[in-house]
Amino acid sequence: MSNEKNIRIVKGNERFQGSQDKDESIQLGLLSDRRNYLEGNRNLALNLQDQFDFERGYSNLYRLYGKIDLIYDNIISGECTTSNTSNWMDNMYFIPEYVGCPSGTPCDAYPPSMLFEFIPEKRYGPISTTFMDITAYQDNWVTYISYIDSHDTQQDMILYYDYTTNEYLNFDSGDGIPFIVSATTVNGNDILQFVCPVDHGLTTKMYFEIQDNNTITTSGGVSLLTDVSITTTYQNPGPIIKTSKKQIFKVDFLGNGNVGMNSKVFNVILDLEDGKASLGGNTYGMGTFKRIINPDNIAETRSEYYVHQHKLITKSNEYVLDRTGFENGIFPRKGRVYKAKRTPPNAGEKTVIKEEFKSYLWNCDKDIDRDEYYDNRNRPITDLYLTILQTNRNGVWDKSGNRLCGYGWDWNFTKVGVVDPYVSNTNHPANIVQTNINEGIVFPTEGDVFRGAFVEYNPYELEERVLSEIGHSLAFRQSKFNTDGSIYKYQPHHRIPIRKLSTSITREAEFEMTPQYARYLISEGVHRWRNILPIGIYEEGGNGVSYPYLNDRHYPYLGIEFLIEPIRINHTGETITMIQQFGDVCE
Amino acid sequence: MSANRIQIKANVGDKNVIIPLGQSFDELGREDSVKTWEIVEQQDAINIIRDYETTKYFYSNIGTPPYEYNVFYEFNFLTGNTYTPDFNPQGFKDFEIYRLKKSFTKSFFKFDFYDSPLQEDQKIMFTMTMPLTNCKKEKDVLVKKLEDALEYWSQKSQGINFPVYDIYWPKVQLGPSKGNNEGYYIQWYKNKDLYSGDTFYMSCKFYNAKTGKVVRMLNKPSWNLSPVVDNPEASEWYYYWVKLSVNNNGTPKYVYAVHEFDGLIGGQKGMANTPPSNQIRFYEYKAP
Repeated sequence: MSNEKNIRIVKGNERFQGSQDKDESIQLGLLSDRRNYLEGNRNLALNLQDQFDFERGYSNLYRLYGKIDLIYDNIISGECTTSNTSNWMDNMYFIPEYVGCPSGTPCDAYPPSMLFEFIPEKRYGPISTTFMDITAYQDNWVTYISYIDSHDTQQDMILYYDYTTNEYLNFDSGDGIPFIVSATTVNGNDILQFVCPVDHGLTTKMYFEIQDNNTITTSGGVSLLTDVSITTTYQNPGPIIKTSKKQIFKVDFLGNGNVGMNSKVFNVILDLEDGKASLGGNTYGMGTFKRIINPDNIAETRSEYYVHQHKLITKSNEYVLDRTGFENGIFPRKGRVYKAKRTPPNAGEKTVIKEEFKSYLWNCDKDIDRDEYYDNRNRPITDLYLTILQTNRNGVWDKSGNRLCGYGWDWNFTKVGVVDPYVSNTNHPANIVQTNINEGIVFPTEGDVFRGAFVEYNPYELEERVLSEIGHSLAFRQSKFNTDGSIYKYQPHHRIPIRKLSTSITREAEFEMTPQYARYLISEGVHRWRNILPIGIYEEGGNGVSYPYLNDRHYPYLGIEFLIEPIRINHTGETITMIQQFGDVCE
Repeated sequence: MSANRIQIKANVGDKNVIIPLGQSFDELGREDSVKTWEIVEQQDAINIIRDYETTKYFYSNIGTPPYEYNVFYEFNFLTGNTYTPDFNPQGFKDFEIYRLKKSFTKSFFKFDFYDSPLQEDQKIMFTMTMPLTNCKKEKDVLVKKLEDALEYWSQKSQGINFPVYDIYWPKVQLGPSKGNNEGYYIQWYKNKDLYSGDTFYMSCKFYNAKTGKVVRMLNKPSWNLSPVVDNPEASEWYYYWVKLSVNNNGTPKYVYAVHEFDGLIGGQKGMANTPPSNQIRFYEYKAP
């Protein structure tokens, strides 16, 4: 039996005397595919600042510009082997100054300042092709915009222990950071001291793993350290000695007592909990290591190491370069007037500038659409690069085969009185093609790839760290200018930050809610990534970017000091060698 | 007895109550479209985005050394009914030119660039000026004793019987090199968002700081000189035709060319000093 038949609905004013009608509320579970049309949403207060911020955040177009301050030390002299009537000879800065280059004596000289300038005023080298004002800005250097398109873990590298005895470590970029290790004593503790040519990135109590790959080898007398011997003595029931191998260690302390060496040197005390470590009878050795955040989760917290690959995104004619109107360099201009009797026969009086530190304004002619490019980690690009390459239109620099420059990293360009054989364009040529010594290089174009910095990436920290920028080497053409073999070095790639990654890591369990570059961490079951900060938003510590926005384009500015650095043979002015520079405190 | 006669019969099914809610709805998607439309309208209303960036255009002249990318001008002034490339007819004495008197250095040529050669509907798009010190200093003149006694006797004292110096004359060679490049580059937009045209009509006037007069220049000798031309059309007499173009693969990327124009577009001018007909030549207008 149901009681539904007894339901009655009574109007309010009929319930009792004096009662009134009243509204009843009914809870309705409305399922709708429609949205409320609210009139208030149609009203909008126009605000120029809000509109500017909106458009600024929406735009992905970049116009890059900046200033190049040229800094060099014109210090490598040589003997001119061209004829006395050559263009090259006419432009040389003769030494000794008071002798000049009189007839019958060899002409020792420095090259003119035009060798380094971005817009030389004439042909000054052994090449006698026609000088043109219009193309002079590419006679010495050419600039491009590039980004990091990929990376290479198999770039072969060499770190010398001693150039005299030819002892060195050969390794690949993916093998990690190279080191020179020695057994020594500090404050009564026997330690292993690891000396790195780049910042190791370790802190006390952090872990590292010594690497053992077949790509890591040594040459000469130096031993290869792929692990450390651990000797353990058991006293019960009797003294039993067991030896094992160990590759993962905790850093005990940093530095070797010298100022600024904490970032290059780290130490491990030999008395470990599980025994006594040793180098197996060697006093020193070489090897590579990788940084580890969590020794219990090596697979997900061990750093990766590689070399950036830069891809050009502009062509050689897509930039404008001009002299600055009213700027002088930080060092004084140096030159000399040579009277006719101090110049080669029939050459006449001449004025030669040896050093002048000019500045130049550069301006990329192409709008860069950031949406079109993703970096080696599949992230929308956060950095663009001003890439500067030597063009050699005056034929001063030596080419080997069809390549103009060599390349290397910081440890290949240390000033130890020796030119590292690694950086010659015969052994390691950069991707700068010059087929004819009289015509300058074949200009690279959009899509060409060049090596870049040596980098560490930690998958747990989700962050790259530049260990060393790449450098290009320039050797003089000995058949025209006979030197002692000293070289110049310049840095080809210069970073232009256009966005910044957040200092904090965002976590999200649901895949659909993550950006395409998020990385899944198995141990925590979450996707992790670093957000890209909006323009004009800064985190603590000044992490962020801001630059002018107009014409619907962003205008990031890059001012650089373009340093052309001499690497001199037998140069004793800076008396450092690899051993002395990175030696231990006992020396 | 019941309170009223309304009865609801029992039904095992759900009850339906029709409730007239006071709301209007918008279909999904239209709202988003309205938002997008709103953004566009907002941009148009308060901040129209336009690309105002300019770049420098080089004169297009591959030429031969040393004339690559150089441009050559010649300006002719009237002495009676005869044209000569000389500043004297404009009232400048030789010593004033040599001594760079302000009346000379403050004078200049002004080039106006129009979108059309028809005066009734043309608009001036931009203007360039060229100082007289851009001219070549290669006219040899005798030093006049009464005008420049200092120079005259200075040379005389060195044993020079006929003192001479070089002064400017209205012939110009401009190039991209450091130095004489004022008036060489055309500064114009990189892209055509703001103005889709890439051709202009260039006229010239001479601003004489000594007389305070503005001298109109023609692209050929004036029509009321011999041979006399009847019913001249202004568009045929005042302009050179200037074409801007972008060379995507070459250097320089942005270039301009100057062609003669007398109602029809003729050959490119300004490419060389010789023969003289290759120059961009302007002639003083002679009032009828």
